[in-house]
Amino acid sequence: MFASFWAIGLGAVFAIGCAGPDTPPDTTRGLPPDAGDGGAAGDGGGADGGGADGGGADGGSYAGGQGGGGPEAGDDETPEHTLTLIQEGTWTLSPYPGPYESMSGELVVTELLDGLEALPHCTAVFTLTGYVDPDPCGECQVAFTVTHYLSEDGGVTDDGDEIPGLSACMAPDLPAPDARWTLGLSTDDAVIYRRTGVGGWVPWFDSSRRLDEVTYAWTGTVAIELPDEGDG
Amino acid sequence: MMGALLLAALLSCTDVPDAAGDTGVDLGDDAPTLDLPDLSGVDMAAAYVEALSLARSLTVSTAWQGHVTSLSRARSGCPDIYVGAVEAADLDAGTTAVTWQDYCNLGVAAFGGWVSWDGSLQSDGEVDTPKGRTVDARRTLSGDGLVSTDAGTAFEFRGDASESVYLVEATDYQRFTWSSLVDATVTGADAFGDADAAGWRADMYQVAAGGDAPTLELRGNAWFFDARIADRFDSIDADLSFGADPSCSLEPHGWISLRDTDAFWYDLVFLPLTGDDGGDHGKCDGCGTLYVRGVETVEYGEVCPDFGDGWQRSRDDLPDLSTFVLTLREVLALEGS
Repeated sequence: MFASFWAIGLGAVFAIGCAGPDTPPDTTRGLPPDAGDGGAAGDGGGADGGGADGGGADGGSYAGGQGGGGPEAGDDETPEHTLTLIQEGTWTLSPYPGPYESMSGELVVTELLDGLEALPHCTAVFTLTGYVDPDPCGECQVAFTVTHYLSEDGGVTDDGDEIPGLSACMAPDLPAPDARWTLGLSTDDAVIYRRTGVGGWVPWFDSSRRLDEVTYAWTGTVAIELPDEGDG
Repeated sequence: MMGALLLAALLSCTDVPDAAGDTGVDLGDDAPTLDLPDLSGVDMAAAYVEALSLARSLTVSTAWQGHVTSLSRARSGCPDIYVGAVEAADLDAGTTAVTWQDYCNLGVAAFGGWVSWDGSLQSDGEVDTPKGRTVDARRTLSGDGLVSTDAGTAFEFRGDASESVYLVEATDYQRFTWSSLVDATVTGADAFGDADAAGWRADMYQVAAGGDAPTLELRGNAWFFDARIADRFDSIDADLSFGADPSCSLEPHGWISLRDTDAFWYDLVFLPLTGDDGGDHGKCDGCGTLYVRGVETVEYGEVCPDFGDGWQRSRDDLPDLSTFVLTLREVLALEGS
């Protein structure tokens, strides 16, 4: 055992101490300061990785049940909770019968968790005033710049339970208090359009008009994860 | 005794053709000689120009296009659309983000995972006025989702991406800043408009100014699953700055590297990013110094890519601002159609 130890020790000494003729010359000239770390080392995730980690890049299609492990028709899970988003209201146009110069009205926002009407998830009422916009959408008869004044923020149920206000509402496209939107009315399409800000218009409410009164609404149902829930 | 052995060992170092013969220890074969790559036939200058063009295309717009197009395949609850915080997406409470999250199959399309998005667009004023119009647009995309069809991957997005534009347009005046950060894998025909496009994985940040004083900073790396630059290189790594130095318009500051499929990196080094004189790299001549690195660094010489003004972004190069907001109404209308 002793002899073996020394044999290894000698080998180590030779290996450390010898710069034999076959040792390659040191050609390292030092990389330019900015190229060394990122560029040449290639330690960025982009180049060194092993490819897309999902099935995508490898052609791992699973539509139609052709790939292993993909969703099958019966895999779809129903969300535990839904939120019904309701935005509705009225406009009154003036002067009747036109050409219209202004409008007034209201927007009522209500959200129902799992369809529970007795205790809404939130409620808010905006009072609206608007003046005519000179540049309506192509389909519109008239457009207004509408200011949204928050007139009711929350409420109380018939049972005396408090209903949260606007800050609890989850719809992502709600007006902020005092927000000014440009809205266009198309009686042909029975749609109120909203101007996006860079010249485009998107359908916003279904509407119907009778004389100088316009009623409108939009309703959508989405899924929601409640706090402390991981699965939906 | 130990000292004597050490002395003997050192003295014997003058010529040791085969240490194993003397010691009984097998040190293995000599290290193989590194064959440096042959660049003959490769127009490296053109390759770097092509690489910069590809790197500039690594923006949120591609991923966003794939996201919106893939959502047009949604129908009646597949996928489920969530508002607010979703645990998988690690979104903050109170977020206005919308998320599709599901594991469902419509037959013609399947959705697996989740993708969250959010956007805002604020505009004030009119373009053709002295005061002009300002537009502030932002959008984010994060996800770990795959949408596929019988034809293959429609859209895959894994990672995070964000983009912003601040634009001032007035009579006889225009200026904007744009930034895009993509730290994600993006694949699929819906993103690239081409069923054969395999996609990329990138961690790329770009910020550009346009109008009166154009600049571009481009920083990060990317790996192209299928595309090859100059039919040879599959990856880019770069840290470049264009337009910020009024004393030199011929070349950028920084460096750009290409990797070939044999894993050699080719680093083209321009003026230094930092404030030093750059030594050999301090000349403003439109040329960079090319280094090739395997185990060693070898200087191959000068390469002079003509980037021209191809690095600049014009107003027309900005993404369509109207696409920054994908409303919940639009998505639910798609699902109900």
